[in-house]
Formats: sequence, structure tokens, C-alpha cells
Amino acid sequence: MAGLSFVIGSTEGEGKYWLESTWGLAKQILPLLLAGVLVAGFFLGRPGSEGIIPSEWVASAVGGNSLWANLFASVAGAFMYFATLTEVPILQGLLGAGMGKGPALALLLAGPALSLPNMLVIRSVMGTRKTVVFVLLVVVMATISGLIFGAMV
Amino acid sequence: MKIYLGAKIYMGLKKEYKPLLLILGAFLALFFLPIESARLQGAIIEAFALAKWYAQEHVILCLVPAFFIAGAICVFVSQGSVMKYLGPAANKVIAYGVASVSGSILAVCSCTILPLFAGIYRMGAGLGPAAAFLYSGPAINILAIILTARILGPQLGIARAAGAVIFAVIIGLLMHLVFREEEKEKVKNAAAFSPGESRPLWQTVLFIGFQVAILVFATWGRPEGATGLWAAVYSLKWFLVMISASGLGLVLVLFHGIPFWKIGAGFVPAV
Repeated sequence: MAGLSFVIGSTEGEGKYWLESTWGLAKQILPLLLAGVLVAGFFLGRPGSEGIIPSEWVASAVGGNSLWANLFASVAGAFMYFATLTEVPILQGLLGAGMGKGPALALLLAGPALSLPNMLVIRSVMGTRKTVVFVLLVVVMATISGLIFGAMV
Repeated sequence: MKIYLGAKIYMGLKKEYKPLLLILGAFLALFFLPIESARLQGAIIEAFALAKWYAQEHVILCLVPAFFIAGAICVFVSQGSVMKYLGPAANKVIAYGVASVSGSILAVCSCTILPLFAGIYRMGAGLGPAAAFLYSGPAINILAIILTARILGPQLGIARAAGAVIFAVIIGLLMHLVFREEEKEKVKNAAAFSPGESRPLWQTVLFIGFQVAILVFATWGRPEGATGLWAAVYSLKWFLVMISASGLGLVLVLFHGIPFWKIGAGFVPAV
């Protein structure tokens, strides 16, 4: 990558412009992402270990298929940082601890697409209002699908 | 005199109350900070552990290539073609289709999608398709859905797949509806914009395609079983990355007028 940067950066015209926009994006996004990861780790911990919020609370809050359980699952999923595929083992653990299937789906639908770091970045790109609407849409829709799925299963 | 002094203090407070509150808050928080508590210590360690893992696993292989691809989209993909396929005035079916499919191909991890999202949004993509892209990337991930079905049961797997596809489109459409006034402005601005291609489309496709290939192969996950296509690709992943990188080098030389010796020089540290 350093090699690539050198190559395109040292060539005038488009190459240089490419490097500049790459760097501009990196400057905008990286600090927010890292800060968000730190905060998310502080509150919820890495997958499999816990942060300041005890995981028993989480497990007890998502049992059954109540509105509350679904809402909680989608909000928790929205804020927590999952890398791709880590949501599956986490859910395996939670389902073992008595999580309902509805909330499990809610968490799957809200989880990977959103996280605290992502929200910070999205906000810097399209502004606070649109970000809030986007997050609300995801959370509300995840909750509703969780409720429907939980009732069907 | 006394009244005057009071007014002066009041005015000062009115102006300075924000920093005052901030300092007071920080002081109180530190004063009562339960630093001995195992939970707080654990949480702080967790925060840094997550950040460390993130830096090790995601920055070099996911984020940095994604920044380069997004930068390339900004520069080499003409604004006209972004507008044509993803713009607010574009055909809705094509726009949402392109957005969700390309999102799921590029879905290596949720962080990769962010630079790309920023790239297309700045280039004038409509809010709806951009939101669909943002959601679909990490959510409509073939591997994630297969894994969900296998470990958590087919029911959840199917529900997740269906939910994610429907979500991407509905969220995009709703975002568009909520902010449709602003989008109208965008359409007006777009109309004034004449699409101009500086180079043939297939060259740009190759150019970005090779970068996407590098990203996808470099982050190819370790498979569960030892056989099958997935495992075969995994065992060859660095080889495939090299081929893609060579392809990218070739494209740079042929179409972008970058001297050959520079590509060679750039490769030496990479090898």
C-alpha cells in the first residue's frame, strides 16, 4: 500500500488526485471509527467477554418475545460492534442463555449494519438528522420483524 | 454599586456557564471515579482489547483497501455515471438493485462499507440508494447467512436472508420519502450536470474490479471444512491477491500513464 501510494502520489494529474481523495476519506473516517470502537468496547466488551454492562442483564432482557425484548435486542444490536460473522457465535451463546427467536432475528437484522463507530461516521457524511432517521428506521423495523417472526415460530 | 457587580457576575456566568459546567462535571466524575471496581477496570481493558483486535484484524486488510477503492470511485468514476445509476432521478429499480447487489459483494466487514458509502454519497448518489447500499453491505452477506442457517438453524437463516433484502429496499425508500424535499434539490442540480466520460467504462470497471478483488481475497475467511471451493480459494488467497495486484499494476501502466518502473518499485516493498 505504501508502494501504491508512492506510485500514484508521485505521478501528476489523476493519480495524485486519487491519493488525495483516499487520504481525505481516511482522515474523515478513521479517527471516528477508532473512538467508536473504544467506547463500544467499554460498554459492551468484546464478543464473548463483558464490558461495563453485565452480560446477564443482556441475557435476561431478551428472553421471550415481548415488545421490550425485541426492542432491547435491536437497540443493543444497533450499538454493539460486530465484525462480520461474530454475531453468529454471540447469538448462539444468547440463545443458549434463553433468548427468544424473535429478539434473535431483531439482533441479526440491526446488528451487522449498525454500530456506534458506524453511526459516528455516517453522521459526519450525511448529517445528524439523516443519521438519526436511518438508525431509527433500522431499529424500529428490526423490532417489528422480530415480533412477527417470534409470533410465527 | 452592589447591583452593578451582581449584574456583572450574572453576565459573566451567562457567558461562561458551559466551560464551568464541563469542568465541574469532569471534577465530580473523577472525584467519585470507582477506579478500584473490577468491573470498571475490566471495561477499560475490554475497550482497548477491542480496539487492538480491530487494529490488527481490520485496518490493514479491510479499511485501507476500502479507502483506496472509495478514493478511486471519487476520481475515476464519472459523476455522470453515478448520477445515472444511483442518482435521485435514476430508475428506481435499477438504482436499488445496483446499490444492494454491489453492497453485498463488497461486504467484507461493516467498516469497509463506510468509505465506499461516503464516496458514492459525495458523488451525488440519491439518499435512498445510498442508504440501501449502506444497509445491504454488511447485512446481505452470503457467508453470514449460510453460517446463520447452519449454526442457528434454517428458520433463522431464511428469516435473516429475507429480512435483510427487504430491509435494504424499504429503508432506502423510506429514507428517500422522509427527505424527499432535499432530494428534489439534488435532482435540479443533477439536471444541470452533463455526464461526460473521460475514459471507456470497461477500463474503469477493470481498474476498480482489481482493487475489489484484492480486498475480497485478502480478507477471505478461514473455512470450516478443509474441502470445497471455499477452502481452495482460502489456501490460494495470497496468490490470488498477488494476481489481482499485478492486474491493477497493469491497468495503471496501460490506461493511466504511470511509468512501468514505478509499479516495479512499488511492488518491491510489497513483496
